[in-house]
Amino acid sequence: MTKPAVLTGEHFMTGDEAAAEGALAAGCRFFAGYPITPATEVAERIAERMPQVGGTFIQMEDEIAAMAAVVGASCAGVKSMTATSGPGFSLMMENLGLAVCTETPCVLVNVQRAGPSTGLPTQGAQGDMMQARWGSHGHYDLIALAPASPQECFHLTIEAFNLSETYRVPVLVMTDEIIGHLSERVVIPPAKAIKTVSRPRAKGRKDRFLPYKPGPRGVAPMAAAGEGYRIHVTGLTHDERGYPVMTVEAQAEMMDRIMGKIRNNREDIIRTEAYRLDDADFVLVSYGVSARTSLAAVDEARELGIRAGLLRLVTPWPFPEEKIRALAGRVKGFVTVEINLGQMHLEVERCAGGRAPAYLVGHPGGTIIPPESVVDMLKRISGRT
Amino acid sequence: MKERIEIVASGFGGQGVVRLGQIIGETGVRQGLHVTMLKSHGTEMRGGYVRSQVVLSEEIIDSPMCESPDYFIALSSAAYERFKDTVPEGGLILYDPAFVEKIDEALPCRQERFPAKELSVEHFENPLFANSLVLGRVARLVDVLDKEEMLESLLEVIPKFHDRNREAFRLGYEYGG
Repeated sequence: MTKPAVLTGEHFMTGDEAAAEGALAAGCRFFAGYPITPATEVAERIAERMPQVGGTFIQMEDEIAAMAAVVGASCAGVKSMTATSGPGFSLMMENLGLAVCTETPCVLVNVQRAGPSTGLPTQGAQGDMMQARWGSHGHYDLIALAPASPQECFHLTIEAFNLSETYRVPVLVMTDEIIGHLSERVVIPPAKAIKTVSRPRAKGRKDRFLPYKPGPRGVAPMAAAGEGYRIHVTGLTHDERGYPVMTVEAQAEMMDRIMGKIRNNREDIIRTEAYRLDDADFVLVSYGVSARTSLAAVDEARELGIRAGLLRLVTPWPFPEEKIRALAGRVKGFVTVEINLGQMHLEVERCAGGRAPAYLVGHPGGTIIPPESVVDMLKRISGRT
Repeated sequence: MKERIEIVASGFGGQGVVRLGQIIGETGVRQGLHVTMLKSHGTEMRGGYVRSQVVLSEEIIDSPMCESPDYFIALSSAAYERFKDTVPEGGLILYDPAFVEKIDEALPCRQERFPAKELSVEHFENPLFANSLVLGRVARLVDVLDKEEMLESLLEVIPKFHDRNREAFRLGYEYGG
């Protein structure tokens, strides 16, 4: 049965389902995955919907294979995605690195649950934020988005594909069990109102094509396997031709390109949201589900006469270093609110550079951080207890 | 209406607790309210604990957690024991005596015995319609929820047995006169 890829209208759906619908609306036509709580519902929805839009869903033997299939499908020219959680995210790390090195666009949704190891499979956390940044070996930059509602799971998954295709980089959608299993109103706009981006395509003579020669924004146009261009794709250090070159110079040149795409376009990539920040003495820094409760804490603190504000990280990676540095010169303190024991907090502390103190309201995982915990911290550091 | 209304339903896996929450949530969305419905469950496929937490509000909802539910629908003894103390004075526990045998008389909230399973078997020779009875009862008890919108949501979410679901909903709504 054929159904539209964009289910225009008002829905009551979970974050997981909304991420699946966002992928389809963005033009994703290949999904490979392996079921895992609390990300299974993403795969479940996609498994039902892919045949309706002429796409492919495949359940692989494990998450290593799932990520490999996603990289392969993208090399063949199809927008591709997977979704997983904790243990599966760990297994995907090697091939995530392959996507970085081969500059293969793809989207990985991580519905975070409490770890380490099997942890609390059915309960939420935000403990994979540093793994998202540094989980695969070697040095690299990538992009991560953190939706704070099912509606944002829809929009930011589209955004993830657009950024991924623009920069030829894997993009992570770092959601969590609470947002993933939360049903809320999700408004899906008409298809023509949704902006989608596709990777820059190869042009010119097929026998002279250089698959890693940077174009505008430092991003090389991409040929799909089977189009006729002579391409070589490898995880080994390679030159503009894509051929392995085992030299220090080739490594430096390749790394410069991989890092530069992100670093030189930070302004275009980084998204933050400010709430009552203009006159704030104390800045809450948060993302995902924790940003929702932080928002409530700002209002409660203001009622107590504490001038609090919120900087929400829509893209935890790349981290908005400049914003934190600018604020550090004029505020009395930062409070990072996250369901882990201090991960993005380290970034805030680093960028504050000792010019403003950085505090943490953290939690080892399994539940949300209630607004009261944040207000208590604000009371303490503002001397109101 | 109150700033936020919290409704918790909890029982064990397979009872339809998530569907129950989903239908209540859909009703709120149809009425133009802000709604969150958070499902949480244990690690078991069947028989483990399940909970739906619904928040209804005219404002944007920050936390989807029900810390002090106005209504608690208890569909197992374990769920009753786990959440009974979160219901504040002025709150209401709706429990099915087929699943919740021992009641704590010392609680500050109101408690209503509603034999949904028994009524379902009595009227339909099948316990399957117990949740539609519960939904009818909830539509009656929760002022902010519109009866017709709730019935429409029920029929949309559960595509089968419309006649019997409609009848069960009516029985629940009219229970106790």
